[in-house]
Amino acid sequence: MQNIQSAIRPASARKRYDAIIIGSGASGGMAARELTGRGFEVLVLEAGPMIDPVRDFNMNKFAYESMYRGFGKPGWKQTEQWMQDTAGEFSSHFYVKDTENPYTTAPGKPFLWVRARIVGGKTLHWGRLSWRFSDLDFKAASHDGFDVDWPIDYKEMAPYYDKAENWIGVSGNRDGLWWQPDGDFLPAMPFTCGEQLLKSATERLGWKLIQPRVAMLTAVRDHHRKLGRAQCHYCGSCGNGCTVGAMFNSLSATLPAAAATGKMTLRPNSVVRHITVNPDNGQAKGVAVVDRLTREEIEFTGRVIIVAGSTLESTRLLLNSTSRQHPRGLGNSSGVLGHYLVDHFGGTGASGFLPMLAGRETINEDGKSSGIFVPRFRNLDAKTKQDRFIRGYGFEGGSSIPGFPGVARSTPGFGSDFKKNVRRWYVAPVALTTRANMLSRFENYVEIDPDGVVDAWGIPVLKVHIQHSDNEREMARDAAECSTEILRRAGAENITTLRQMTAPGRIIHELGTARMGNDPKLSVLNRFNQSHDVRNLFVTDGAAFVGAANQNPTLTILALTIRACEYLTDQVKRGEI
Amino acid sequence: MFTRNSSTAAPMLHSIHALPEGSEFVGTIEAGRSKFGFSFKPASASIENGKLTLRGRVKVTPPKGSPRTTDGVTATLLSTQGSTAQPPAPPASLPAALIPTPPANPGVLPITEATGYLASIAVIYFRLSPLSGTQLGLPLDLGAVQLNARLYSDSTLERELLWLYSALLMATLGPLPDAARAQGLLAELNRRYA
Repeated sequence: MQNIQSAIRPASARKRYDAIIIGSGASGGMAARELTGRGFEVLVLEAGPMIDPVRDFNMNKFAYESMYRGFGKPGWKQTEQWMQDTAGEFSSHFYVKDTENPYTTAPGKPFLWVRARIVGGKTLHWGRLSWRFSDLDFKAASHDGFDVDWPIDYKEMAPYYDKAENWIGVSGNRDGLWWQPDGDFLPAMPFTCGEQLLKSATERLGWKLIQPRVAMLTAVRDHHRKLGRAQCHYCGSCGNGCTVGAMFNSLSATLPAAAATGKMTLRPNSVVRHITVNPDNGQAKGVAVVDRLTREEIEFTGRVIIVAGSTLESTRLLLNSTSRQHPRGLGNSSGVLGHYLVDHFGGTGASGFLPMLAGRETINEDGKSSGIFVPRFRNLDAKTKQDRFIRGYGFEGGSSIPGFPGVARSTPGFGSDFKKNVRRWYVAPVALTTRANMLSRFENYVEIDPDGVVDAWGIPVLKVHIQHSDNEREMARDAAECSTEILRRAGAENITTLRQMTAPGRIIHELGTARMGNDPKLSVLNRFNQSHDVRNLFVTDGAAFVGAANQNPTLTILALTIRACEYLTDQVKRGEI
Repeated sequence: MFTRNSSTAAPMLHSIHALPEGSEFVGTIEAGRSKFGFSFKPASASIENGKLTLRGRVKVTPPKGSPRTTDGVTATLLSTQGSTAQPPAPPASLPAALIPTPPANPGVLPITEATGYLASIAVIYFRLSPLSGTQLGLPLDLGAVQLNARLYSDSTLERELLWLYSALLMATLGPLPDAARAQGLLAELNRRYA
C-alpha cells in the first residue's frame, strides 16, 4: 500500500481551497481522488486520527496471541464502545468511543449507531459487498406507489457504477439478473461444498443464489498495481485492517491516488463544528473546526464544500449549521433535512447443520470472506407480488468451517463424547440472514437533541427517532419462513428459525435524512447531490439516498460521488459555483 | 472533555463520563496532564417538571491531596440513549404492580430487539447544577457540565438500579406514561439510595 503521509501537512486558514471535503471514508476519499484528478486543490478534514497500517492493522494477529483471545478485556466494550457492535479486540481503534460521542433516542426506540472517526472511516472495516441498484430500486414508487422515485435512473447511473467498480475492484459473477445488474467483475470467489448444496436447494424453490460481489481483489489490474494493492490471500481477517490493500478502503486506494497528485491536504483530528456561510448571499463560505487534541478553534474557507462525513454525521453538521439565512439548518428550506431515515434490517433467518457434511475432514474454509447471496425474489413482477408487504429482501449467508467451533457452546455433555460431537458438527454449519428494505417514512427522523445534550467538544448531538412498521414486520415474517424452507430443502437438520428483527442501525446501513429530489420543497439535494438552497454545498454520502433498497449501499455512494464531482467540476468551469 | 474559548478563560468542561459503582456514578476528569477522580452520589430522586432529578454529593479527588466535595448538587435529566442489550431481570423484591407484564399474545409478527417490554436504557444524560471548578480544585469551567451516566452494571444493586431507571424513564417519557407506577418506582429508587 502507498503512503499518504505526504498529504498530512499544515492546513492554511488564510488560503481559500478549491474544495473542502468533510470526511475521509468511502465518499470523502472518492471525492478527494476525483477532484484532485481534475486539478482541484482540496482540503480533506477527518475528525479522527491518522492511521499507520503497519502499526494499526491487525490482519495477521490470531486470537490465541491475546490473553483475551480476541474478546478484549472483560467489560471494555460495555464501558467504552457499547454501541460499536462490530468492534473487536483487534479493531476497536477503528471505531469511536461512545464515551466521547453521545447521541440520544426516545425511550423504547433504540438506535445502534456504529461510527468510525479515523482516516479511512468505515471503509477500514466495511463488509465490502458491492451491489448495484436497478430501476426496481430507483423507480420503486412507480412500481408499488409508496413514497417517491429517485430523481435518477439506472441508465444514467450505469457508467458511474462501471467507474466505481473498476476503480475499487469488485469480484463477482455476471448472473444476468435484470434487477441485480452486472458489471465488469474480477473473478468470483468460489462456493464451498455446503454453499453448492444451498444453491441447489434455493433454485429448486425457483429463487436464485449467487456469489456475493465483494470489493476485494481476486485479480489485480494495472491501476490497482500502481497503488501497491495486492491480490487477496484469503486470511479472512478483513475487518482488522487489510495490510495488502486487497480489500478496498480509502487508505489503500482513493486517498493515495489523491495524495499522489500533490493537491490534497489531509488534516486528521479536525472535528467540524459547523459550516460557515457568507452573510451577503447565504452561500457556504467554509468550516469551523475544533482540533480534537488541542481543542483549538480554527476556520478554513473553500469555494465548494463537500459533506461526506457519513449519513448521520453529515446531517448533524447541516442541522448544526444554522444562520440568519438558514435558521432551520443549512440547506433546509424544505424542512425535510433529518427525515426519511432508514436502515436495512436483519435478524430474521435460519441456521442449522448439513448432515451430509458432518464428520468430514477439516479443511481451510474460514479465509474466504464471501458466502452466498440470495437476491430479492419478492415483488419483482406480477407473478412474485406479495399481498402482505411491498418491496423485498435478500439473504446473506453461507456454509463454511469456522475458525472457532461456535457449535461447542450449544453442544451438551463433556469429555470425549463432547469433543467428538463438536468435531462432527462444526464442519457442517449453514446459516441465512435477511437484508431487507425498510420503507422511507417521514416520521423516522433525526433532530438536534432538543434537551441540549452535547459531545465531548461541546457540539450538539443528534436525537434519533426510528421504528419499524408493519411492512417491515410482515417482510421479516416472510423472510424467516423462506430461509427456513431453503435450509429444509438443502437437507439441514437442527434448524433454528430466527424471528427477532435487528434494532435500527445494527446493519450499519443508515441512509437518507438529506434526500435528493427534483422538487426543492420536498427534498434537500438535487439529482447531482447539490443543495437546492446552497449551490456550492454538496452532500455525497448515504444521506442523499431516497430509499434503501435491500442491497448494500456503498457502491451506490461511490458512484454518486463520482457523478457529483463530475457535475461540480463542470459547474465550476462554467462559473456557476 | 473540554474546549478552550480564549487563552485567558478556564477551559470549559462539557461532559463527564461516569459508570455506576453501587448507587454512585464514578468517573475521571482530565485537566491538562492531571487526572482527577470524580463521583456523584445521589441521596434522593424526584420527578420535577416531568423529568427525573437526582440530588446528592459531588466529590473530586486530585492526584495528590484531599478530596473536595459539594453537597446538594442537582442532576437534572436531559435525555437518554436506549440500550440494544438484553435488560436485566426486575428486582426480586419489587411489588408486582411495578413490573410491566409482557403482552399475553405478542402476535404473529416478529418484534424488533430491545423494544417494547425488552427495552432498557444505556445512558442517562444529566445536567449538573452549576458547579464551581475553583471550589472543587479543578482548573476548569464547570458552569454547564453534563453527566453521561452509562448504566453498565456488574453487581446486584447496579442491575436493580438499571432496571429501575429504565422502568422509571419508560413510565415518565415512554409512549404510555403511567404516573402512579412512576411514583412507586421512584420510592424504590430512593429506598436503594438510603
